Amino acid sequence: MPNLGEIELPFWQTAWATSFEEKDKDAFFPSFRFSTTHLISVNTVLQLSPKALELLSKLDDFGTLEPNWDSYDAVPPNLETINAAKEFVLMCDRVSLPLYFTAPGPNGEIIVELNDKSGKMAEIFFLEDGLTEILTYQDEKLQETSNKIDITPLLKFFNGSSSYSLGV
Amino acid sequence: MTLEVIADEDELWRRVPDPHPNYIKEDNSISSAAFLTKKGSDGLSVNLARLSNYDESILDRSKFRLCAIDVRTVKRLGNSSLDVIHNPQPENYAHCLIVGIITRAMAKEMARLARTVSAPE
Repeated sequence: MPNLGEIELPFWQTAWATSFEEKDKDAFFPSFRFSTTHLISVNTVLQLSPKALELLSKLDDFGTLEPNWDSYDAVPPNLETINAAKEFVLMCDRVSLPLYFTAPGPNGEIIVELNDKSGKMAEIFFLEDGLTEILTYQDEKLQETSNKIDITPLLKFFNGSSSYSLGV
Repeated sequence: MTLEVIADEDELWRRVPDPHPNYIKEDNSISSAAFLTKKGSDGLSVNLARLSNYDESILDRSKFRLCAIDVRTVKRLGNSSLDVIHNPQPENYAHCLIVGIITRAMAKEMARLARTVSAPE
C-alpha cells in the first residue's frame, strides 16, 4: 500500500491511491487499448474530462505520423509508447491530476505534461524503449527527476506537499 | 562554402510542427519537444536568422511554425557545454547546429526562453 505521508488528499483520491494495485489496472482502466472513439462512446461510464479526451485523441493521432514528420528526420512513436501514454492519461484523469499537453519527440518518445497553472508542472517522458522519465518543475525551476512512474508522489506534489519526493 | 562567425547576438530559428502534431500550447508557450535532439545526430538543427528568411526556414506554413532563440541564451543555458556552429548545407546555407548534450531540462528551459516568430505581412 502506498505511503501517503503527511498530506491530506481529498477523500476519493485517498481511497483510490490506497486501494489501487498493479493487478487491478485492467479492471480500473480496461479501455486504454481501445481507440479514443471507443473511449468517447463509453465515456458515460468512465466520465473522462474534456482535457483527457483531447489528449487521448491527440495520442491516437500520433499513430498516423510518418517518418520525418518534423522535417528533421523524426521517428514516429510506436503503438506501445502511445498506449503507455494513454494509460497514464487515464490514470491521471481518474485522480484529477492537471493534464495539460502532449507531444511526440524526435526519437519516438512521447511527452505528457501536467500543469496546474500556478507554478507546478511535470513532464513525463514515455521513451521509445519502454523506459520513462519524470521531471518536475516548480516556478520554472527543476525540482527532481525520476525513472519510475508513480501516481502517489505526483498527487503529493500537485497537492502541495512540503516533503515532496519522487521516491527514487 | 564560407563559414560564418556566429555572434552571441545572433538569432536562431527552429522549425516546429503545427498543427499535427502541435508544439505550441494553448497559452502560446512552446513544448520542450522543440529542442530535443535526435539520437545519433550531430546536433540540433537551426537556421541563422540573418542568413535566411521566414519562408525559406519554415518550408511549409501549413505544417510548421518558427521559434527563435538567441545564441547567447543557448550558451548560457549550456554553461559552456553548448555551442553553435555554422553548418551550411547545399540547399540551406543558413543551417547551423547547436552542439553539445542538450538535456531534457535544458530543452525545457530553451523552450521557455524561445519565442514564436510571426509571419511577415
